[in-house]
Amino acid sequence: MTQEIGLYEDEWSAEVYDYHARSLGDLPFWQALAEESGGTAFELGCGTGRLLLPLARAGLRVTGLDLSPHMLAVAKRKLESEEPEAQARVCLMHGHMVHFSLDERFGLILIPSRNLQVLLSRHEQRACLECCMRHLRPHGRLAIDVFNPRLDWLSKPGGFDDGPDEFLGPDGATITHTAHTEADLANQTVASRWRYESRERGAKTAEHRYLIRLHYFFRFEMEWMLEACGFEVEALYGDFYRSPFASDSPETIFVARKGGGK
Amino acid sequence: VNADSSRYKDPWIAEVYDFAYVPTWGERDLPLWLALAQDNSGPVLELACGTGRVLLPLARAGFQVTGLDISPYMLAVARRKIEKEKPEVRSHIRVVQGDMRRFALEARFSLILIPYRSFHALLTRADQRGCLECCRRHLEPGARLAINVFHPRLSVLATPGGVDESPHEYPGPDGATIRQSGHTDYDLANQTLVWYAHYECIAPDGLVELHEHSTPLRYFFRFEMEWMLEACGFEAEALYGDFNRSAFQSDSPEMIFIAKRRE
Repeated sequence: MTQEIGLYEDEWSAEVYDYHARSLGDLPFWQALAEESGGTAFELGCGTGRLLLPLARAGLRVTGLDLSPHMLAVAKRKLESEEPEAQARVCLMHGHMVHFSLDERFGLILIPSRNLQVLLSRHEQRACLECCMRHLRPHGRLAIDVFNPRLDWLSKPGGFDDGPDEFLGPDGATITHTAHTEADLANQTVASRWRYESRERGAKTAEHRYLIRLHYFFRFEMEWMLEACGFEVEALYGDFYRSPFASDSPETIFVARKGGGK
Repeated sequence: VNADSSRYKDPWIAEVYDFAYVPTWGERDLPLWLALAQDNSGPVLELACGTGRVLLPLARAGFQVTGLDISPYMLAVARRKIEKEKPEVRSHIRVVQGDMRRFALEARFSLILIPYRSFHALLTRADQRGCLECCRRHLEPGARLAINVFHPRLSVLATPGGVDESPHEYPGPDGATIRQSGHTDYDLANQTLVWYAHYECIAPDGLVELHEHSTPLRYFFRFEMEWMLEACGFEAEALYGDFNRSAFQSDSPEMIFIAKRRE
């Protein structure tokens, strides 16, 4: 059996990300927000540049931070094939979202793709939001996307399964992804065990296993957390079309503002 | 029958409260509140004291207690019960009519209790903040606040169409029999439930009186409570999953927060 490690802690999962990533349809939302906010946008957990590169192509100045050197290596490679003007608008940084320190102050900090959910403790969540606060201009905005927890899934005895879903990998192999997720209701976390099986001409060639732990957030938990960390909630959306948050909304998207005084 | 009336606004519910809810809930939480009062020697304030279920045993144990409740009907029942106590117990108790979101008393306390899910009546973050800020102002530096809310069962919240409360009967006041049934609907986006309760009060002569209430309640999750306490100037010191001070777990029935006033 293959060793289970964290996602994006190895080259393989980073290389496969762009091939597996479902289109979340979130780019227009982030682009509009970045255009409204002015200045440079700062993305926490930029990964392979899924959002960062199209934003730069659209004329926005963007900085991306990621903890995974493997994801950043993919992002850098992709960046090199962009037009020079777009390249000049992008800055990639290696670092942790709970303690980063840059000289620049931003009009918008975005934490998309459920990246905040990798922070499992209130201590880490607070550290991240405090870092964000320090890196925002007066009245700058912080926008966070987390999933809206499905209570029926979380409460399923024994957990729940995803997949199998199939896609073509970077080297042309067919990759099958399956996942099993179990919830810890007392600590509001889910542990997902991901399994990728690669096949070429019908024969299994490789298997990769990952363990992903995420905190799931409830709506008012986020509101109190933002308030406790000095932010004012400006908007709450249930999807990337800015629909009002509803019981069956797929996402919980907060746009919050730093007060002028801080 | 008023379809959107909260149960707290009906004088009848105050008269049947000790028959309807005290027997089922029992005294399971009293030892914990008594122990907390012991640990934090000094005057105790109970918010939403109702008919005095917690207040009277605390006073009998020798603690100086103040009870606050918004319902004049509940307080009338509490006062009637207090009058039957011994003079030294009576001298330990004070009850005040007031709103837990905005109250101002002269006294400062070493412990404030919000037992038996009263906190669920605070529907908005502004209500919750108002209550916790009032608590903070009425506590001595470093003093404690204890809140009991129920631990939401996700499988129950996710039940399509809500959950029925099957009809059950129990003895009421003046020889009456009460038949109670109900239904609860959940609004997941707003973390609110609406509890519809239907009562048939059958007098000994067979006369049936109907009462119906529709009570909105807010339900809370663990980390939401922790952030809320922090945002309102408290620090969560302990979280228990039941009244025996068991560690909070996925299947714990209760959430009991003990928080300290942050200086």
